[in-house]
Amino acid sequence: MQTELHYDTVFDEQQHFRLLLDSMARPGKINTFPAMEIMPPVGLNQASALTGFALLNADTSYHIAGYNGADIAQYLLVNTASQQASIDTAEYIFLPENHDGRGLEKARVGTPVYPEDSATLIAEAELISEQVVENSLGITLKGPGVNGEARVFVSGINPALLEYLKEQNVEYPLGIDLIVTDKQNNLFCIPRSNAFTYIKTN
Amino acid sequence: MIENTKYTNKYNFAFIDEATKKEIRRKLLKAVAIPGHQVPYSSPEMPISRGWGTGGLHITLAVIGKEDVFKIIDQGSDASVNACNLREFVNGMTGCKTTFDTAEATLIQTRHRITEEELTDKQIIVFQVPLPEPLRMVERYEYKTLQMHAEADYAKMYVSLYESYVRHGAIMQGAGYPVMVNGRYIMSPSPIPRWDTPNLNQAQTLFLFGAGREKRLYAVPPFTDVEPLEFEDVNFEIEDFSKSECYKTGYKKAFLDEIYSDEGERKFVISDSNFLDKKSEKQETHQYSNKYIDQLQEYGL
Repeated sequence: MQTELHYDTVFDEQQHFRLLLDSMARPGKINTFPAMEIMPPVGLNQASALTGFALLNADTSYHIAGYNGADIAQYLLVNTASQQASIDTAEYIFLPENHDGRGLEKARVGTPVYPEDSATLIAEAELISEQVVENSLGITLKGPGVNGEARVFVSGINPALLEYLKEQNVEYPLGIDLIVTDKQNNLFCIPRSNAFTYIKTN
Repeated sequence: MIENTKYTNKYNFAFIDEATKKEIRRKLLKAVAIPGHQVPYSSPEMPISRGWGTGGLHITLAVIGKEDVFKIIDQGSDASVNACNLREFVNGMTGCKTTFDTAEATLIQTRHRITEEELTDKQIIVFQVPLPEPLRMVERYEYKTLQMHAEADYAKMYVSLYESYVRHGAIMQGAGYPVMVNGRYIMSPSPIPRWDTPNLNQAQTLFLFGAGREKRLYAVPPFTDVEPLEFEDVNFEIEDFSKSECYKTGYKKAFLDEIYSDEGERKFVISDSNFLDKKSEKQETHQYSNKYIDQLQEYGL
């Protein structure tokens, strides 16, 4: 395996980080990574890979909760020099589509003095949209960064994962931040500061 | 042919090495997710001393890209020494376009002011913070202030404001008036005047704060509640410029600097230099409005 040749570790990274920052600062806002010629292994979509590229390096760690973990770990190691860690120490946790949140209760939520010392989830979904899509959850967000209420529709995300997130974020500022990505390179974020509800749309 | 571009520049783009930039970026995401909470970060060595705007510079350099249009102000002025030098540095290290025009900029770094013109959701403003810890004036030990923030134990802070009122008949804190962010953390908004403080509340813009010497960064996302600390019967007030006006434009509804001429004569001038230029040239401006500024009906503006 070799490093991605078409990925610029200075400028692409910066551009993608700005999209992440924008989505994190405005929960529910959908941003789209520009199309890139990268070939992540099965079980890791492009947007999740690019999120990993933008944030991971040798100083941090991640955990893969999905399938094909060995290939993905090799891919992230080659491209970011980051090492996989166990779920209770990892700073970033990659989740596959429809992950039910099981096993994630061990993920770090920070300490009262250092609440930022917590894990960030990078969860994959089928499709993120501003409009209703088939078999989607309509997520309504409220809190810092949102003017009134924000609405986003996601298919391929498990309600159990959102329940897990709610439970972990009850003791704000302790908690977990979530980045959701889809197959069309879209992403949106649910930081722990935001309260949310969801309903099945059909 | 494969061209080796790595060594053609003496410095990495935006000066800071990529590993450190990533670290700052990771911390920024966390800071945004916990509004008002101070996140420790690496505060790498810069070619200027800590305490001269390195915190702001770190954040600026970690987020800036080739397409950004950069503006930097110091006490509202584009022309002061600190602003000029940092502007040249950022421009030299990134090749980004720089501007004086508040409306044109995409990334604004500031020392001790928020622009008089309202910023939009396309812009990010980065503050240079000298003292990030609002509780330092009531508690000298870091481990104790950390604990106080963790437990949201802000009684001492309110007592100090009360004592100030009892002694002086007013809350004396001028610049850097402590604010409550999202109902959870007390935050120092960096020494911006009271005039600017309400503009942090429910704003369009993302506010990022960097304190290089103290190695802390924090953030206020857009549309976040930012309330100045006050009591039921003793309220927060902004500076009153009703009896003074800008000597160049006659304008009153802006933060004014007091200046003395060589003869000892006292004058006032608009602090935000770009706003002053626009007012002098009678250009259109879109100012912040908040309940404190709107109260000042007697300005008749």
